[in-house]
Amino acid sequence: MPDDGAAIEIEGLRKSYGSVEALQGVTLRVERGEVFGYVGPNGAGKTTTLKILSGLIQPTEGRVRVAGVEVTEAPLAAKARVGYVPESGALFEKLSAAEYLTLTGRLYGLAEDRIRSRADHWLRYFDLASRAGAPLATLSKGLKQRVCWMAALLHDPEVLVLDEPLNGLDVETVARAKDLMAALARDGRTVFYSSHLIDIVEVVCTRVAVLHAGRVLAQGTTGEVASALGAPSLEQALLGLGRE
Amino acid sequence: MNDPPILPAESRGTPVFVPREGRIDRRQLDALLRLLTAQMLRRGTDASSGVKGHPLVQVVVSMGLLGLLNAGSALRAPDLDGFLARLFLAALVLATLAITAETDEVRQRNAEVLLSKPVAAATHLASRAAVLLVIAALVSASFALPSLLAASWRLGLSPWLVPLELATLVAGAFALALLWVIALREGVLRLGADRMRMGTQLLLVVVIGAIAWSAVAGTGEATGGAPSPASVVLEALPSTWLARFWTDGWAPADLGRRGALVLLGTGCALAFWRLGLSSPDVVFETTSRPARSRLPLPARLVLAVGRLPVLGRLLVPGPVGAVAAVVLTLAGREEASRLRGFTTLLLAVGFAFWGFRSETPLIPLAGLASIVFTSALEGLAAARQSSSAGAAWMLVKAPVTPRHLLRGVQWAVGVRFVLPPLLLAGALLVRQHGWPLAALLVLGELLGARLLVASALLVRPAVPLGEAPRLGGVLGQVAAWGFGVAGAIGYVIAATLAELLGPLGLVVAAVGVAGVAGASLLVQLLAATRLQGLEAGE
Repeated sequence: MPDDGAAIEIEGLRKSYGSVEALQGVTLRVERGEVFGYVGPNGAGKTTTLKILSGLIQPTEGRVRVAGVEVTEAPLAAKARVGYVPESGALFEKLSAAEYLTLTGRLYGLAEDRIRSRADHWLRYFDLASRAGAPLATLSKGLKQRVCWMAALLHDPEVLVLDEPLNGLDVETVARAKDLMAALARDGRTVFYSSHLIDIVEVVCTRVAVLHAGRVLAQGTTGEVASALGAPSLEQALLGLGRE
Repeated sequence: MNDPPILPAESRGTPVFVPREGRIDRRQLDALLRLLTAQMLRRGTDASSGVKGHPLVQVVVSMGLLGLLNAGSALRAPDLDGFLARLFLAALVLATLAITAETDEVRQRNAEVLLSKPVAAATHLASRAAVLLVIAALVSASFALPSLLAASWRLGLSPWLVPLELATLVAGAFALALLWVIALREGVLRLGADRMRMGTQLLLVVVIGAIAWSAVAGTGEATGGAPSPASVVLEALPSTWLARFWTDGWAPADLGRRGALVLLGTGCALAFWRLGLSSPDVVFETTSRPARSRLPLPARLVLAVGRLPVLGRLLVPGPVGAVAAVVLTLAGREEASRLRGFTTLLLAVGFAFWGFRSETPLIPLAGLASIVFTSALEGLAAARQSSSAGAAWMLVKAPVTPRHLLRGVQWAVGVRFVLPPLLLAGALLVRQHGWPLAALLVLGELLGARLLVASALLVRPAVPLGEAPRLGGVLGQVAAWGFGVAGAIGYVIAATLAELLGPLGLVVAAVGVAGVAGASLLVQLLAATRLQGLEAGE
């Protein structure tokens, strides 16, 4: 059951797809109340890590605890404590946002009145209340991305796992998303944030880890990571990795 | 935006809900069913094929029409037992093949949305089974109901038994569907989702063609005499036992068959449940074989023509070949278009078979001529549409003249859709009329098909691949049928004239072909001006 330890503990995590080793022994520790940045070049293994954290796929080897729950031993208990915004922005697009949020709330076992109040709150926060009844297929990419955020937040998760969550969002919504991440952290929730938008990562994240070819090269504050990688900034460090 | 509070007022007060593993949570099951059935049955764009439409109406109408066709065979069926046996076999096969493997994109979406939620594998499995029941019931009932009513009217099936037979059929279709998804899952693991979808869809088209053919041309089993091998096999199939579940007597053999059916159904359900629980995440973990990277055969054929010395650059200049290759590659890979023309091709094979067995194959040849022209329009519809219609800007912005675009479409339609029935027609024409006249008639049909494509683009210009796929409208079907009939009549007139006039007939035919060529060129030029300035996407 949950304890007062770290929000996310990953030890020696490995994942293979056939002969390809996507993760080669990742070890990380993320404290409660942190916004933790997870960065690296394309194909580094970020999405694979996030999918394991969200219970979508099983690790080949290693130990993963989320909110004090072993993901492989008690996957349902772990999923109940995690909110996930996928990179793909996947949704059931013949439903409306209101229907989608209601059904998502039921899958998380929320009471009907709580689903209504939460859905109303997030629809207002993400400025989608006026389009709540429209089929998701008719919404723009950015509006669909807002629905992904709402669905991930609906059950008030202890850990929010975000995979490129700002895809397609307009400037104002990006600002709101940044405020939201900070507010969640202040409230004791943990945000695990994977992105290529390094300028935003540098602003919102308390600590970051750099992943490259399935291995964590460095972790710490952005300054610590940059100096560990011998670069003047996090962006320069990642540019160096991209050129390798 | 106004400035609402960031976190909800009652934040931090939500109890964590964790369902019990191995148990079905009814509220979650209800939510999953609403999600999945809405996605499956509501009007909109199908996530797998990219086709717009109303899937529920489509299934009920298409299966209902096939069922009506099949119901007509009740008039010729000698007995109720044989009719029911064939009906149940057809309905079970249709209901099974209607369930195809999900595309990789849909499987990924389902996994990302559903597997990240705290839902027990038992609940996921129950929802999947319920969805299978819905599909099995929709397909088998839509198809079988007209035939059961016809059997009640013509073959003495008690009206009370109609709902019982229907319920038994749905139960059988459901059990078979449970077994089928296990086979599909294994197939996806080994062959990839795309190949499994393609194979299932092809089989479904063949089965529908066979049912339609048997309903129209079948004579039914004769009573008396030695049973045919087909009827012996049919008699041994569990589908036949299922068909006679209510009409069989109470002899030990009859009871044994009923018992075996119950055991088979239970076995299917158990296999589904056990496998599903032991590997709940296999759907997401399955990695399909990589997509094909080689150009489809028709595209390679067009490009090969373009590489011919001298004639190549004249017939297929570089931009024309490039346009044709893009259209043919997408038409060969996209769900919405890759099976287009397959049914017509089956029909063409049927006509050719008939023609080669006939002394005077006038009707088969007219039928083949008709198919050449309907195929041209069918091909044009495929060339107009793509599930990535917005990406047609690539063709709009490329340095390709409208005439190149049009010729590219003509080549694509010609090679992929017109050539196969034309080759069959050509073989039959050579046998019937000899080489010179056959060659002229084939050339005439080919140029006529090109003229038809150019005319259609003149009337309704469109950027290749620039429209979202949608199911064919009634008007389009009627137009295609009309042109087909016109083509058939044209062939009969041309062939008769040529035969009657002897050597002069050949000259007349040649002049006619030249006229069609000229008209084709003229319409092509006019249509090209209409393509100027069109935009991609809808």
